[in-house]
Amino acid sequence: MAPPTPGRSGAMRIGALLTALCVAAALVSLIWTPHPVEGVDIPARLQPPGGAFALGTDQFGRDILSMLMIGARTSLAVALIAVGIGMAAGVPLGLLAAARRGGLVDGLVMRLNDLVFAFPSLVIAILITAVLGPSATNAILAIGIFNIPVFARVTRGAALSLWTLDYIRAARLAGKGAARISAEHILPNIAPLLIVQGTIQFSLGILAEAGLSYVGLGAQPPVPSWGRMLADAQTLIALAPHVALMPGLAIVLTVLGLNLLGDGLRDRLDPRLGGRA
Amino acid sequence: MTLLSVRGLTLALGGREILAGVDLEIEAGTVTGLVGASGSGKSLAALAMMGLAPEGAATGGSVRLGGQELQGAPEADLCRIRGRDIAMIFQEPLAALDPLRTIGDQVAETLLIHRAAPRAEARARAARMLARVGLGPDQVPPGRYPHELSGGQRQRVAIAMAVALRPRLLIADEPTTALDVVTQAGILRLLGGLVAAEGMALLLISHDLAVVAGMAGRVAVMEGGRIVEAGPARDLIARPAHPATQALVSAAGHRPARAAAPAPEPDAPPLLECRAVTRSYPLPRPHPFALRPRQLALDRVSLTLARGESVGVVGASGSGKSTLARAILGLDPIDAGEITLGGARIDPARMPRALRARMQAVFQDPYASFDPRQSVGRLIAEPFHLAPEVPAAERQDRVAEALRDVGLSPDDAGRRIHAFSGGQRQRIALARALVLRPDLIVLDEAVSALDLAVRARILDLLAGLQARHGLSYLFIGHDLGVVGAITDRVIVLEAGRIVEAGPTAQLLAAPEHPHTQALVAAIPHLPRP
Amino acid sequence: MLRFALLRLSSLVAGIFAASVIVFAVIEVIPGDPARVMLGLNASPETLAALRAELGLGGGPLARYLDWAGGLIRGDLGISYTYRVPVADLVAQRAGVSVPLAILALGLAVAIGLPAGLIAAARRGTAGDLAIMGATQIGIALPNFWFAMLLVSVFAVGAGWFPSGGFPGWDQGIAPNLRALVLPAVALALPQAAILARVLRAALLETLGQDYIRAARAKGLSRAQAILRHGLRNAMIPVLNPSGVQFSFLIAGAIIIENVFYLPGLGRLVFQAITQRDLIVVESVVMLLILAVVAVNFAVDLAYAAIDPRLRR
Repeated sequence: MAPPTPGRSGAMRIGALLTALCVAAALVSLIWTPHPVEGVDIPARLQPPGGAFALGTDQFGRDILSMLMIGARTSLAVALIAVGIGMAAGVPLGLLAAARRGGLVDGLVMRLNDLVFAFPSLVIAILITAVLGPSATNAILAIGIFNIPVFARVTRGAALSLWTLDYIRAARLAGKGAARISAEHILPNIAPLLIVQGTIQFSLGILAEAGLSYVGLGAQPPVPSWGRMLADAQTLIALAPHVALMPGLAIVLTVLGLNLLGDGLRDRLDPRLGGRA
Repeated sequence: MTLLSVRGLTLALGGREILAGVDLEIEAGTVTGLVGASGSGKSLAALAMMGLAPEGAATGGSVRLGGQELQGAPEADLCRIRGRDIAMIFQEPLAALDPLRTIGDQVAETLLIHRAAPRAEARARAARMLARVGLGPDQVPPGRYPHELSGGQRQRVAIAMAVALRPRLLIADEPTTALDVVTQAGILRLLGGLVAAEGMALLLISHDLAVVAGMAGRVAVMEGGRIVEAGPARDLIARPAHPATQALVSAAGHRPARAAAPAPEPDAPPLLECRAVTRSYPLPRPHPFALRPRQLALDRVSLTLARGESVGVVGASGSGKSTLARAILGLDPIDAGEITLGGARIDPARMPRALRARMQAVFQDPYASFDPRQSVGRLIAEPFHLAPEVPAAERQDRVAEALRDVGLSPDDAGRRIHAFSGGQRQRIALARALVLRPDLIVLDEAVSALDLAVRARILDLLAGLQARHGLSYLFIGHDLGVVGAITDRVIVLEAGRIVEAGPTAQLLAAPEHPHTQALVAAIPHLPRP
Repeated sequence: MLRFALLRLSSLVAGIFAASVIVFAVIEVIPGDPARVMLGLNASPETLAALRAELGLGGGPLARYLDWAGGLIRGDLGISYTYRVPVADLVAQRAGVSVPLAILALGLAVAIGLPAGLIAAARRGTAGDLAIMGATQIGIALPNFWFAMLLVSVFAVGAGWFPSGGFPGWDQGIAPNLRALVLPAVALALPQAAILARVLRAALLETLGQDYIRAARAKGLSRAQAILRHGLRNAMIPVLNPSGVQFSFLIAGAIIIENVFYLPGLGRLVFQAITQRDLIVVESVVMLLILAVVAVNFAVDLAYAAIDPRLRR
């Protein structure tokens, strides 16, 4: 096995920093933003970055930095809850399928998985919106439902390879049942994999939320969201490029940070390094 | 005439010195053995000779093949030499074959890459080569894929690939370590025949001196990245000078000193009894609406094991011995028959804790036998799940006692499993099996994955523990030489059926069934001095 | 092989059936009265009754499902409420934009991602590898609709090489339409290419550590020959694995991208239908998208079996 490349830990540090920055911005926005964003200030509209407004203002004169900070809240919350939904439903399903491998439950879980995989989260969002109308909850549900089979599959695959190992046989000899083995031996050993998958789904969730709000299926005004800001800025791109650039950069940096963090975690936590090292 | 001359070959990986100056001479057309414990650097030495050291390895010294220097030669020249002048066979016969290409294609590739023949002719020659290594077109046609072959057949494909162009030197790196002994004997016979017929030189690498001694004229012993002793095989075995050689000689065919089992009381019921145990597995359906055909893994197997006795179950891979072990341990159900332990019926669906606690097991792979996230103490204490009445303080004492029993220190309980070698891990597995003081310990290929010297020490430990605690062993393995060393009686399984059973000494001295005879013949022996 | 294909086909049919039940239930059963959903709260009883009759909402859910599913199989998707034309014609016309866009994007993604991954793996640890991997990190993090906006501002509004949006229609000849699809396809393809390159690189590095690559080198194959003859084929297995999911991302991306470029494809159709509450159109387009995803997954399964003899029995 190759030793981790020296640049790797640096990349992970950058990833952690970017992620922390985004989380901090979201948290700070709960109590303080550089400028209020509720009102409309037409005289101050479309100001370039620098001066009183660090990142400039949008077409209503609102401070873009403040909007981005509050938007981070929406993005992170939607993606986090969606990962939570995916894990809460997917991991137990995957563990169950692996414990009853080859059985009826396993087959049922896997077919159900295939079925949900056929529904891209955007399609789920379209379906929900068509009936209930658009909202941030839609985005959470749509992304969360799509996450379920992702986690179920990863869990099942990793758990299946563990179930063939002799230490599981030893645990069975110690009289432990499938549920206890899953909780005591399988879950802790696949946890690193789930954490890594969690960061991947988290960053995908942020991208998906941005896309959904961009087309109007996600968070609705007045709740600021990065995708929504981009949709509003689309027609202004020639006039005031910064209005379209800033939210996009915020998305790229956040997703990049999460991906770098996930890669770094994978290198550190890879279960294959744990067994034989 | 010297074919290969290695002088001061060094290799360092990530700053760590692995080969510290290897010197080796191989005469044309002879068989040379390279023997050493695992980690002595044998495999990397072989790869370095071929110019295939892993990426990032720094090599030095000289490797001359028939006068041509290979160290530092241009890669294009080495590509012409590899496969045509030097070829190699690896340890894992499955991993060494591309799973997506037919075996015929893979043998023909050797010819095509060296432009030795046009495509159609290469195919025909590959088919002839496969037939020559025992894979005739009637049983194993060249259109088969590696996954359709057994381990021994795959190794034959690898040999055909390697010798297709009749190289002057063939390097075989532990070619039989992953195979069972009967298959091993067949592969060694094939290699010996091929090199003799084609006038090739063979460098046979193994951790088992007995495997090498039967074929090699000269043997070199490696330790710590150096050749520590070399000479004619006969002299080396008769008068080993270096401690490493002495250890290898004493480990080969090692038999622990053990007393015979006490004569069972005439009317005492057996501890373990299997009556006509039958088990079959479903095979894939031939078409979606067909009933699943079933493969019979155990066919009316009956055996008994008395308290304090050690019984061996021997068979090749696929003979059903592991299925039998799992059924006895109550891990898998059986289709028909009955298994009882101390008169209580074993039923995986309903195993009372007290019954489970009466038997424990040690498995084959020391690296897969432990949850990597738990401390050694917690791992050994795992069976206490079956004895909730034992208080925590007593558990600790008994874990410490079990560790002392297997020759480790009670302080090891606080350490992580990563810190232990394969042999130490099998000791820990044994401690886990001992901690509940069970009546029966099932040893399922428990020493097969170990180096010979380590294996010898574990066998000694097993014999000692049995004498001290009056344990009963069911010892399952593929090597009659190993199983015979530690058992009173042996049962021979072939294709799910018992073909012969009897006292160990009698079975080894006068095997009756042809399969038993093959097993006995396959035991590698050091030539008697 | 045939056995494998039949087995997968049967599960595919079952999957499509289950998906159709879900779509039908969500759109036509769960909301209660679809006619009321479509017309809003202020509709008069007369218009409601008229729409109910038009949509055939008379029978129970089961009869209506059978009616709808039967229509789907025959290619009769009903009449659009807002456009007043058969939905099938509408969908066919809009697919004439979306399908070429998806194919173009897929082709571009493979044409960029495959060589990038191959080069990065073959030159592992070099500056080239580092550059490619850095670029793919950015590529994965790019929201494709934002990337599309940047492309428009640079290459359409700025340089004027491509139109910034719209679609002339196929009756205007091939060239202007292809020009209109270039920027959307690039915006869709680059993030996909980045993912492909990363997965391929990782898969290749994994296979390059295998014994059979060493065995191939011992036969006399050069490093490059070993990669091309044995590494690439084996690496395709882990590369194919996520490609079904990636395709569903591509479809989702295409729907969004069409809105950036005002392309009259299925994506715009479905959003217009949502705003106009034309549930019949939404239902049909969603069903079509699911069919496409399922069909691609089936093709991926077959490709698996074609590559890997262990799957054919």
